[in-house]
Amino acid sequence: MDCKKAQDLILTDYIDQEASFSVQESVRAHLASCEKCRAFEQEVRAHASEDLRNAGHIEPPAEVWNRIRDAIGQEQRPSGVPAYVDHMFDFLRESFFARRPAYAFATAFTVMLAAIAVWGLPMRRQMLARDYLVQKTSFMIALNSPANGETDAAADFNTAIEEYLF
Amino acid sequence: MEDIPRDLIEQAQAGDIGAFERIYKAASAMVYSVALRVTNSRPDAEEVTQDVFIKIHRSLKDFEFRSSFKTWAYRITVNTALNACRKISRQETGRQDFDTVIDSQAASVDTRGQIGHAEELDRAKAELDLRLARLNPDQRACIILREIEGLKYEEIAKALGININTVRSRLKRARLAMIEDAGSRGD
Ligand SMILES: [Zn+2]
Repeated sequence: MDCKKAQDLILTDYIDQEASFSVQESVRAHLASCEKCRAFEQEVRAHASEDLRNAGHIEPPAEVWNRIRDAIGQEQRPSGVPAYVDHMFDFLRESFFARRPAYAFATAFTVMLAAIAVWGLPMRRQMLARDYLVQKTSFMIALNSPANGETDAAADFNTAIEEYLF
Repeated sequence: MEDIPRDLIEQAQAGDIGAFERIYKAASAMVYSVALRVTNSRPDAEEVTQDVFIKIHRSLKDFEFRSSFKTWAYRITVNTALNACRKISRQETGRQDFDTVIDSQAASVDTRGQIGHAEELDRAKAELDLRLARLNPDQRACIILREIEGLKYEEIAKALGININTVRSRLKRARLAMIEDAGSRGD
């Protein structure tokens, strides 16, 4: 084996342990007798291979999952359902996340509006919309489950008006 | 990255958002790290991560377990990241972003490797930053999948949709550029 062939293999299959046993052996035999290629192997390992192996993984910021979850929620709207139903749900979801009793009014009002809006649709679309509302609601319940890591602190009464009303 | 258990994928296929979140938790560090290192930019890496999981969710129902979930996830990740690179070429600001994210998230780096303390982490960070940023995105993707993700040539070929000899030639060129770069910096 000549130096060029040996160095080609050192840059790829040899260092990555992809070569067959006999090829690995011939490279090793060449390295045993060639100082230049031994130095080359050291250089490749130090600057283009082993130096990268401890790089590890980095966690994405938490808001990335929140955006994915929101986008998935948006995508689940079937084509027969008008977009305003989604907008109402966005509002509803925010009320859920805020978890303030004063928003309970707004939430109830939105559900009523959604129901009325769906009532006005033709029968086939009504069915679609009804399934969709059920899906969306369970999706939001899932978002609000304790697995989400939220505490109940947000549910405390925070403002005077809330204390007055509830 | 460990492969995802089949029953968890099946639960997510059935529409269980909690199961999908568990898949996200198991795979997101891999997706984000590959995206960050390929694009060299934190905002791009976040966007790629987001796109990858939306794509995974969208096509999950068609996933038939013919390949492993891991291979599939690498393929979507690396292709989405490379497309982002092609769209946006802002290497310099990107490199600053990369520094920032490595610094701010140093504590959350997977320490199952041998990185023990701050100086070693800084050294590893500097090496990654300098050496990887000078490669072209295709070469960078190959060396990341090989050295950081530990994929075999065949898996890299599948992830990138190229043949094994192209994997070899990209790795060869990437490594030659990296040792040349190290030589020119005098170490
Ligand atoms: Zn030689």
